[in-house]
Amino acid sequence: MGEYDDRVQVKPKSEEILDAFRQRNSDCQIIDVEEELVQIIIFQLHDTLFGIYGSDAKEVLEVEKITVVPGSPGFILGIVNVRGDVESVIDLNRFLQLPPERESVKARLIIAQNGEMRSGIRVAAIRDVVDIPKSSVRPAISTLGENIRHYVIGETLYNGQHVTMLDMDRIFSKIVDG
Amino acid sequence: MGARPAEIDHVSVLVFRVMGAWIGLDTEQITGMTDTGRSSEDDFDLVPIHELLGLDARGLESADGTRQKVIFVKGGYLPVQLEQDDPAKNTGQHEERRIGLVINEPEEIVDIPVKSMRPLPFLVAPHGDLNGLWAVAQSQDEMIFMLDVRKLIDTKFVGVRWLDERQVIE
Repeated sequence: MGEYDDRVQVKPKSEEILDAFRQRNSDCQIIDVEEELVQIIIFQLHDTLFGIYGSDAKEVLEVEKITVVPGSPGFILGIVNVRGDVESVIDLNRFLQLPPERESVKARLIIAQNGEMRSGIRVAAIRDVVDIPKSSVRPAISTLGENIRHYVIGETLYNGQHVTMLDMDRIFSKIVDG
Repeated sequence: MGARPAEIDHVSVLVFRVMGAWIGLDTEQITGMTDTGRSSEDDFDLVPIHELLGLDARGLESADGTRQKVIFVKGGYLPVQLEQDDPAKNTGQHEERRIGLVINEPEEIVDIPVKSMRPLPFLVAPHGDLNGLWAVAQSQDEMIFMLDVRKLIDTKFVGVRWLDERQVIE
């Protein structure tokens, strides 16, 4: 065995490897901690779950009296008074070409906002509002119908059920551009 | 510098109902009102307002006893093709006739403060604009759509002529 030169502080290989393990683990923890969370509002249309990002929603209200606007397309249910402001209301079922829902006390109005555009969207029921890692929103499966696919931003899971994430920007743009 | 024009703080509107929607029509755009029964004797062209607004005929609720009225739109004249007995002799000549809008009997004339009016929301404004609807006002539990009838008629008809007439509400 050669002489050990204690003037040079050589870290044992085992310690180096263990340090590398610790660093790797630490990096992983940093990634976990820093993973961006996004809030999503999960709602129901018939038996299917849909979601929009919380950043696209201003508030959720009970559905009150909706006044029909003469001459507006069928997917616009009308307008409502929200504390003195007037908001339009989109019938999301009709917009997505889904069958109409039965009237229900569970129905809610999500006041959605994207940039300058804002409108209420009527949904059959709100299921939950949750924070999820952004990375858990994956590209949507290609089996979605043509009527919906264009307005989908991705999909995620909620209690084992698929949640189809809708893109409010595309929905508003379609309504504005016709 | 010229004086600033006085700010408008309210609009006097004739309020009537069309297929569940309350419509408020600026009284300054109306010169008169009469019963529909008189209409056949006079030289004006009857235009049911529900047709202009793209609503179903149920808009005029005569079936359930709601009376109808004809209102004359201030200064509005429609070119009407003169009919010949023999279509082959049709020269394309026309005359101008006053516009008589058929509406459900108005509920009342009310002063609506401008501060209680709101523009139509972004997504419905283009559709409202095509129908002359320019704002909405909250009155008690109802929303009243403010109608610019001149804009509505200009959107729906070609060749409308607008004359300056004295405002008279009978």
